[in-house]
Amino acid sequence: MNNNLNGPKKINIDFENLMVLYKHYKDFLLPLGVILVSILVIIYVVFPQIQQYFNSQDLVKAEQQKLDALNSNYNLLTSLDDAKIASNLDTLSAALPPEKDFAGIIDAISYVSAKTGVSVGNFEFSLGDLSASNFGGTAYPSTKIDISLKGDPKSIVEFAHELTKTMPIAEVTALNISGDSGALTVLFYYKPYPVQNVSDQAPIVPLSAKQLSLIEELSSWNSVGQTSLPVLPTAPATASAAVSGSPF
Amino acid sequence: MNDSINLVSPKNEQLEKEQNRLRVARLLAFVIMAFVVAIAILVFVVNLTLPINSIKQNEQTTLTNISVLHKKLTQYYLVEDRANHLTNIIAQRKNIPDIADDLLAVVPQDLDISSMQIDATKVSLIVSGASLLSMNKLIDDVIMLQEQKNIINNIVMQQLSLDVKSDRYSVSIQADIK
Repeated sequence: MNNNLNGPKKINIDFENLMVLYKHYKDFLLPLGVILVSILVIIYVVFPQIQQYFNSQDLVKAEQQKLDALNSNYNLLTSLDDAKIASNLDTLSAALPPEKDFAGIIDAISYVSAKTGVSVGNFEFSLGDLSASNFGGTAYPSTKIDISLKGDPKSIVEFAHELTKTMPIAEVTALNISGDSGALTVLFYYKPYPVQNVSDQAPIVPLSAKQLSLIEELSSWNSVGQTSLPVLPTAPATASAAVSGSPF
Repeated sequence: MNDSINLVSPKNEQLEKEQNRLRVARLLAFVIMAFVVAIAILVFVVNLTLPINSIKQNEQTTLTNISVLHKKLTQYYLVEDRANHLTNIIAQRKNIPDIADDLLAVVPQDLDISSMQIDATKVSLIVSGASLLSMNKLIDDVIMLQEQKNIINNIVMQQLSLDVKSDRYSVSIQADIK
């Protein structure tokens, strides 16, 4: 008897009781159902839609940026002068050829020789490591030339000076003067064009002021292609140079 | 008449409460439903109005326009590539002709350059002449090159000799290139 009073009250849910409850609360079922359905709609429809809205906004933002970049590319490209780009590319490619430019090198030496009045004697090419790994990235393959010169020290130094301002680009790595003769070790650089597919979608960066001034500076360099080729001063040349005019 | 008599039965009061609760439940259900429908429609419409398709269409049009200029674009990239590499090479290359120029400029007129050797790290200069005063001036000026132009350092005068036959002095100077 005590157990019944103190223990949990047992409720007998049978069909009749349920019917009584149903009849008593049946008018509440519709509003409750509507509220329940509304909550489900919020969870399964509205929230995903809101999520999709934010995702779409991000997408719109990204696409808009892409479109802006494309428009900017298009505007930049249309504003560029075809002839100017071609001429810039010619100048820069003459300064840094995409391959070994023996003719350009010999022309440059001849031109500078005539300009400075220094006679060129023997010269010797050495090509160094020709493995493809030397051509990528910021590695600059070069053609090394040892040149013997005849002239006074001032003229020989002027020769070296002029050579560094003549296309193709060169670096004097050693200079030896002894009396009225001298020898230069010169590296003529080249760099293959990059092997890459130019993407229309990649943003184009306008040439910087530094790059533009470089192009301007290069335009003032000696370029044998743009001037009449001077005659090589008569000086004793090597047998190979004398026979073929080119060691290759 | 007795005022304390309650004519409204407790059952009716209970019913009134039930009715009120029902009204509140119905109102709440309607408000929630209307709110959910409104939000759902609003979000749907906003999603529809996002201009993704028009942006993509514009992109396609611009890409078509750019593809006509592909040759120009390729040339432009090559110009940029050459310019970058040339800038690097010019920045890296040694200024040996400039150093030689500076050295020539400090050699007095009455001295002859017997030998000048310049490479990536060292400069070696041998000068001959009849005047020791000029040699002294040369040495002073070479030291000034170190101090003012900062192109050489560790200047060493290796030898000062006299050739009695020709009565000419010879001085040999060596320095490191900075």
